[in-house]
Amino acid sequence: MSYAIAEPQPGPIADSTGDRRLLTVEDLEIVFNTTDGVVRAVNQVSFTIDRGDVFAVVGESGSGKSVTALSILGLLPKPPAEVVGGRIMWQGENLLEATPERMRHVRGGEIAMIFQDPLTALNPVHSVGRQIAEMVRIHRGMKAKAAMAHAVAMLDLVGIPQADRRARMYPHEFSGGMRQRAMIAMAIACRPSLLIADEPTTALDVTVQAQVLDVLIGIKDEIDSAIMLITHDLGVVAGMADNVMVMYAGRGVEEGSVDEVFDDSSHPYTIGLMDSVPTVEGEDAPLRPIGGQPPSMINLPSGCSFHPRCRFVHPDGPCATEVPALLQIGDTSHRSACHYSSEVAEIRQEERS
Amino acid sequence: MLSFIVRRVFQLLFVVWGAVTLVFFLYFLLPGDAAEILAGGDNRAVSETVVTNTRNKLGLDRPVIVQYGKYLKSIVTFDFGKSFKDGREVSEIIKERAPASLRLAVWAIMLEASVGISLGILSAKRKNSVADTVTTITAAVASAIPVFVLGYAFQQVTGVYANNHDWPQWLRLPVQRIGPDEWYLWIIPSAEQFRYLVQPMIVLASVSTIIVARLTRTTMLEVGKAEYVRTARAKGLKEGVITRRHTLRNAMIPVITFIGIDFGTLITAAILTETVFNWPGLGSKLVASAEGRDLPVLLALTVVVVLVYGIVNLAVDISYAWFDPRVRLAGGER
Amino acid sequence: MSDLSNEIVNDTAVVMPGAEDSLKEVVAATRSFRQDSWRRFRSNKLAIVGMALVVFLLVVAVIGPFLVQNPLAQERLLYKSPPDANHWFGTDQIGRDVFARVVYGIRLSLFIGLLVSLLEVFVGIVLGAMAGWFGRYFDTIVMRLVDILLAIPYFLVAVAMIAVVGRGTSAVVITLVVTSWLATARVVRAGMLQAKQFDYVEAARAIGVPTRRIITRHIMPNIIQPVLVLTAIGIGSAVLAESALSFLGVGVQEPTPSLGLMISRSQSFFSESPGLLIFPGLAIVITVLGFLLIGDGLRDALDVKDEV
Repeated sequence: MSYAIAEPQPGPIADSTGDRRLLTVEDLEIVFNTTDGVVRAVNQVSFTIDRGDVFAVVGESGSGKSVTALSILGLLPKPPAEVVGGRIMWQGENLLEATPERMRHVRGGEIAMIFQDPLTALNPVHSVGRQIAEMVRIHRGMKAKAAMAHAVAMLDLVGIPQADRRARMYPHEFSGGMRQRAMIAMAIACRPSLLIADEPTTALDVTVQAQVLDVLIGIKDEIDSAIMLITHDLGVVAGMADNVMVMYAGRGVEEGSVDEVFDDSSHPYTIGLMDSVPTVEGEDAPLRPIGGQPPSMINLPSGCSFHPRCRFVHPDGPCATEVPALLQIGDTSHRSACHYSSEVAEIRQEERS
Repeated sequence: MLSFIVRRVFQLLFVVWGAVTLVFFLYFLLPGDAAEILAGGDNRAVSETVVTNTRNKLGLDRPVIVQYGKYLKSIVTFDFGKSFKDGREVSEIIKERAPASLRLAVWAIMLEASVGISLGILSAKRKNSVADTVTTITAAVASAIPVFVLGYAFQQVTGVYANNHDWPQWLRLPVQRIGPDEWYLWIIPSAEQFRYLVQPMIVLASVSTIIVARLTRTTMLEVGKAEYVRTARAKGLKEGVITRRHTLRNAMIPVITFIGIDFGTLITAAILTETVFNWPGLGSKLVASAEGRDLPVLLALTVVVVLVYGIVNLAVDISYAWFDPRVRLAGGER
Repeated sequence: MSDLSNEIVNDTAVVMPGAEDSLKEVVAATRSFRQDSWRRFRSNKLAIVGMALVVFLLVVAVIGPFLVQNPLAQERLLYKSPPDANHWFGTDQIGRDVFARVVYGIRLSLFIGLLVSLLEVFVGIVLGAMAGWFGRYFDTIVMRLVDILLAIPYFLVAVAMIAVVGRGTSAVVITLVVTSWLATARVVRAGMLQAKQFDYVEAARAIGVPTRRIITRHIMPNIIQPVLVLTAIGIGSAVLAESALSFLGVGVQEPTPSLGLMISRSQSFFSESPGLLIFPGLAIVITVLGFLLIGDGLRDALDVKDEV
């Protein structure tokens, strides 16, 4: 790495209220109007992100995690998609009610996003440097030369060797890992306070994954921002995140710090996820996949969406009839949406000992 | 890049050779006795001696292979010989006819590009609106109209009908021939010249304009859905900038390619238009020389046609590399 | 219900009690691609119009000859007369009934269009697939051939064909086939080149599926889509091309009614009887339009990427 991980920047940047809260999502509800019916993609999702946090959102494909992320920046295609409820509070302002000009200013300038496949996410006909420079030209009004120099500096920051030569090259001339780093460079060009990373490493080799994640962490510290990490890879979460929210069928089913959610899992789905990942420690217990199929998002199961596949289900309890609320466990920020969360947590502890 | 060009030039030469050979031997398969037709003109009975004389004079009595060799040689030296019909130098004839075709083609291309691309972009922007549907329908209908029908329709309306019904003078457009042949800087027509130019130009460009419009619409829509457009939006760019710098820039690649290739096609295959409007270009000459069995002219025109088409294609391919960086390193680096 | 479960369950481990409802959803949602495309095609109004036009024309072509007058009969005293009760489209310059000639003209156009399309698609698929699959020398030969043929205006090819087979319909058909298989071949070749690289082809080879079977069962279905679109539009192009060739005098010959020929022959009489231009012209337009709309509709219907 050619960037210096120096001491963290003193204090947050231009934060009038003085506290570290950046993003508060409250009861977000998003639907898609399709020819087959109404898809309830995001259902009463709430979470907060503070400056310096690495906040992970975990779930299967179709759980609503990408949709949530895109909605923060208002990037959902509005004909089929529709935000029908909730608020997205960004530093005191509801982004869902922001004007288009304000949103344009937020995108890239205050919140930036990196996408899964950098080969398709970067324009093939413009040089990488030019695409990075575009950021500061738009948001900071820099002139071409200065912008390009800044782009080179950014490429350098993410650890790309010979940055000035690379800046003039095209996306397809980069390797996968370098492309992703270039995307990161582009995203941080204007020092955004929040970086949303949508499956940043899914398209990469395992070894390269680790490097890119390192870059992300380093950058976060360097510019004192926060990261919202969307992924389905539990290993990545374990290695990088501070807090995590597990999503299932458009709902947040468990959230808390990584330690709490991983070691002290209190939701059957989370437990199912944990059990289906092989560990290196060499436990002899067989892998236990989660039975059944992911639910149809048009016709969700009644009550708790997970109950048809839940191995802790109480058939004569509220599982099939009442949607469980996301309730606090203990006295920390650990919450779980299960009618029997404490019981489930206990059974889990017994099984593991 | 250089090896690419060299390779393509060789390919082109091969194609020219192939086309010329093909046409040459086809010529000798044409019905009727070429010498007889050339000697006698239209269907008049001609005496044997005249025919034989003609045949000897034009070298048609030699074995085919010998004639082939002779013509190949002449083509390579760019000496196309003399027309069978009136003995004029073929190169003269070509020099005389080519400008008309070129000018018509250039104007048609300009029309096709400007109208086609604008319509396409508009269509893409207002997808599924009333304007879009109307444009689509008009486009579909327009591309179903044969060029000659359109030509005659134009003629009837602005030429005949206008005269019979006393339309204002400026609207009564001439419908035949090229007119005064007045051009400034070789390509800009005088006002009077333009009156002669406008109809053939529109008719020739009609089909291609439709294709360009539809192609533009398709590529704009496709590119609009591309990931990098979403990235551009996520960067906070204004919609107009996104359209210009990202969507359009990528969408234009296939469109420009098509227009480039179309240029070659227009010059040479404007046969129908030139026939309808009696525009003295290469296309109408091609028809005349085939019917009149004028071998040297036919062969020369074939060479011209194929060469032009090939060179234009080559130019398009080379410029494609300039447009699309992904193609640049073909055969080179990783 | 259990047999449904068994169907799906063959791949999954176990069906949880209470999961049958979700399964029903999954099965119902997996409509076949064909049904989906058909549904999309049906809802495209323009495509339906296209189909209606083509059906109408086919009816005219098949039934017409039994209902109209003799297209070759000349009523000397009636030439260039306007439309009336006896001659719905009027008569041409030597007294023939225009309506009948238009009907026969449509018949001829459709016949030539369909025949040419079928033949050229066949040639195009065979040559294109072979070029794409075998590559190397075969590919180069085919592509050079394509280049040469493309560079020659089809007018010249038409003249040549006349020499070989004499004037008339066969010459036209051969000419059009020879000049139009090129586009299909290119598309098929491109599709073949792409498909060769796909993993499923590797997989099929690995289990020892014979080459011919790979091509017909695995690759072809994927190439069919653009070819189908090209075919539909190709019929329209063939009709246009035939009319152009007849117009130039190297297509169908007198006295066979061909729409293009009718127009070129009556050229000098348009001012007196505009119907001589309008009726055949309109017939050509409608014919081409019908196939064009179908082709467009097919293209939109088969394009998976458009779905939400």
